[in-house]
Amino acid sequence: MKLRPAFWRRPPAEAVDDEIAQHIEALVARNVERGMDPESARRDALARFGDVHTISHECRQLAHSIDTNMRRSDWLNDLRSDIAFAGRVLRRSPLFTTVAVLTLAIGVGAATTVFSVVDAVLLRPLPYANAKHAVVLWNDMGKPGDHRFAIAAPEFADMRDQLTTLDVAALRWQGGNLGGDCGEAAETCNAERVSVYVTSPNLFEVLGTQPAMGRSFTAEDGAQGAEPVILISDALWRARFGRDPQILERRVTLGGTNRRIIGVMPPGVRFPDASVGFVKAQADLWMPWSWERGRAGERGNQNLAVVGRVHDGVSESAMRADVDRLAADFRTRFPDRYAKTTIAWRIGSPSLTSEMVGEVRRPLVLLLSAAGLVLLIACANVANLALSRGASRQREFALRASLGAGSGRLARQLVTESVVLGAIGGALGIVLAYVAIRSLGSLDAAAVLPRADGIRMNTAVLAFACGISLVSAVIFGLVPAMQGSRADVHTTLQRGGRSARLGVGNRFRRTLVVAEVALTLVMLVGATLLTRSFAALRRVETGLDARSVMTFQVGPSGPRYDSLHKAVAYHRELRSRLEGLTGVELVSTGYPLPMGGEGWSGSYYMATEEPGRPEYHAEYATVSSGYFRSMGIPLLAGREFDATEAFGTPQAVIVDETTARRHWQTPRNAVGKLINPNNGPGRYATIVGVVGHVRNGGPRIEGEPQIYFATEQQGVWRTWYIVRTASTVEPSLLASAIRDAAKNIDPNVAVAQMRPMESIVAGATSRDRFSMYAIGVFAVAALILACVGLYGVIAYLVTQRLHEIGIRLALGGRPRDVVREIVMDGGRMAIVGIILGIAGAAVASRAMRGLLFGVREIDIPTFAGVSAVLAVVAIAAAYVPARRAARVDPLQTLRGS
Amino acid sequence: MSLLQGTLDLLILKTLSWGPRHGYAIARWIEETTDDALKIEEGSLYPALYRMQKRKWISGEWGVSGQGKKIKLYSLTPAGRAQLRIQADEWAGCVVAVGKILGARG
Repeated sequence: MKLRPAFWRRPPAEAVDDEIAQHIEALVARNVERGMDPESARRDALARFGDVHTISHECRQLAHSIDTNMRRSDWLNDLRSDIAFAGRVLRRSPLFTTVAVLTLAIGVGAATTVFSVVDAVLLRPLPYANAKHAVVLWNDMGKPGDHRFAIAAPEFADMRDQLTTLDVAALRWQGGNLGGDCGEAAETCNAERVSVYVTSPNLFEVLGTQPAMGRSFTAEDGAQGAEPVILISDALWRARFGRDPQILERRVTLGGTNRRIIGVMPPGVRFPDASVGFVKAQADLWMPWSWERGRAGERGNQNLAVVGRVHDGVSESAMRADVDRLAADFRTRFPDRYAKTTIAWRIGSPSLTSEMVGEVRRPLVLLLSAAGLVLLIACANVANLALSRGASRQREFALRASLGAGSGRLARQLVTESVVLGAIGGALGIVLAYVAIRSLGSLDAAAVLPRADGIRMNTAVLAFACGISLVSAVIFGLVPAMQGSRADVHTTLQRGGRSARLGVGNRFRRTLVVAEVALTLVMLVGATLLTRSFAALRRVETGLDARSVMTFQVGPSGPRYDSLHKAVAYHRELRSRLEGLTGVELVSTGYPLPMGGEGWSGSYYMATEEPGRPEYHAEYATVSSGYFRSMGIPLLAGREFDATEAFGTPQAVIVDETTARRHWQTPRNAVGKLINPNNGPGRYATIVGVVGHVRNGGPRIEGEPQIYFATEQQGVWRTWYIVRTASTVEPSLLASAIRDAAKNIDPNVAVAQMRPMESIVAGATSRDRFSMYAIGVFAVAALILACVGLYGVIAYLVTQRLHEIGIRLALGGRPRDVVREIVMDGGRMAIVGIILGIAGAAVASRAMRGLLFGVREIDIPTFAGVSAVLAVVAIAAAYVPARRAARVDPLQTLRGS
Repeated sequence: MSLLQGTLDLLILKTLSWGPRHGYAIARWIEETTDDALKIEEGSLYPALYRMQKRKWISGEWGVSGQGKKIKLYSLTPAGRAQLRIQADEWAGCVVAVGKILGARG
């Protein structure tokens, strides 16, 4: 830095006036010298100079702007030299720099990764203009748990007619075989199973979004006799139609009907983009549905999801009152259905956003807090390291202060150093976050989080990363800066650089380490509880044997399958062809698939208990002969479905062990008994067999009693296939043989969602696996950081006491005592941290109650084990520097000072 | 004779090309070299000096004179030296052109 004379900073206006005055005085002096009297000398000088007032005014303005520019460039110059100086200082202590940068990178990387998830899932608005005003309407049975049911078409018609504060739209999922859109080239024209939503034509009007190309549905679309049309998603447009610009001219075959594409929705619109209740799949395309067709339906046939847009200016309570009014009307008109005393029926109206992401909000907030903790630990560490350095650099600061550097200037230098450190650490953290975000895919984030496909490094995420890096840098930079700039020049120089403020600095440093140990304990306990939960989940018997089983779904549709018999014939043909494949042991069908995400349930009652019959609730499934053998579900009594079952034979059912034990104590007793599974009065079914219970909702959920119907007696359109292969054959190797078999029967019927059963079972716990890995990674990071912190502080304390230790050793002190004292010192900090951490972990584990399985919140072995591990690690971290202290050469130390 | 626009700048740059001077000295030098033919109002030097400072053609630093007085010394920057060359060339070109016109015969 160039030294400027002290009076440079004089106000520029004053300097201008001085300069002009000097000039005039010089002219006057010259005139006097030439013999003029003082008065005329001044008059002449002023005349020669010109209009002093105007000139001075002009110059003041110019001088002011010059001064401003100068200050700015001075500031930039100082900054540049500060940064260069900081770079030199950091290069001079590579160990400190490396540890600090890595520490920060871990903290920033963790927080940024989690933020990118939170940003995509919770923060970024849904791609619908009306999302804020959108609600979902359900039949809410008022029982605890998830007892919300879909809306029946006549109910929807009433909503549309009677609700005054809402515009409502309805949609219903339906699979479909999309094909026939490739003209002559029939062999390239594979049918594809697509996710179709049948919607009321106003769906996108209600949501507030327009097609990117073409038009949306009008009220006429979908009416009887109207031209069949569809809207397609951007994803389908890309994947299947190669972004064909002429797409609006094209026609496709959907379920055997020729339909015209009238529009392409903007990218990202896949409504429902995330599960809304039972409506789970993202849409590939939408098909209009007639308002009027719905009215005739039955109130018992509840299959619609209803979305409503609350009118502008209508409060939530006014909307609620409106919905309640309609519910009251339902109760009056259909008391049998809605006013039964056993149910507290109402129409639920949660917001669309909370329906879509409400479930993951809590775990995500938990995850973000975990990331925040890691960042805090990282900051504490770096502050600690910087503090140690700040103390050892006090001599440097004292020297610079004595040479005239202001305390503000020194603080600024320190802050610059930490900002440079923060920038490097932050940049590395962003790289870490980038890698982590990319690896989220392999953790199956999409199966766990709604809207996970939107997770990416974007401007908001980058801004967040830069922001936290800067804030961290300022925080950990200011602490030692405050200490450094307060350094007392005199005493520090006198003491030969040993800290003048030893006591205060060390107390703060110890507090930091205690906090780190406590936070690490909280994280470790959380991670351990989640790991134990996951292990417990994996140990749960789901009731089936998923090994060597391949599953997929087929649903023939279109004019070739205009009757159930034709569909049944198709399935019979496909099943026999699959049984002929080499490597296949057994083929059966069933619907729904255990842990497949779809559910079907209903009520039943006992023949022996009529009249006054109590109703029971059970999970239903329709399965073919051979199903239980192919799924590896044990048969406990009676028989499986077999050739006896056919259309028109007396109805046979198979129940699970839970049903059997509930009513007949043993499986054997249940065989031959009569039950009525929602068949209508007097129509009983005979129990022909009892099988093991299956956890259809995944290992977490015990599930209800189960009743199986025979495919052979009922027939199905759409079903899952269960293909058990020989144990020597890897199931996924059969994929193409299976596809070929189906294609040879009818190329327009698509084989969909082919997956090994093992991956479906694993998928049922993917959320648990995800939380376990996520918290686990954070906990390991926290443990590393806490170790670095503890080691750093003990090492520093030892360095500070080298002098004293040297004297003690010189006077005959035993090295062993020195080691013990230092290790005990570290142990004390660790124990205080562990005690505080246990308290924190108790609170934290209570907060994650919902994520735990098969392990208590306050799990003594976990708490004790983690504490012990942490204590051992802490003592190890303290032992290394303690050993070094004990090996100190007393002479060297004493001479060194 | 009144000063053409911009000519004062040229004169100041030329003056400073021999070394740093303060405002009064610049005025004296112009007066002596031109035998006071230009008759500039000396005050008008200052806005010109500040303008050129702002353009970074010259720099002004306070220092202490031989008599121990605080004075502001102006000196030419590298940018100013380049500017002096440009303006001097322009001026010479202009003089030649005007000379040709005046020397021309109808």
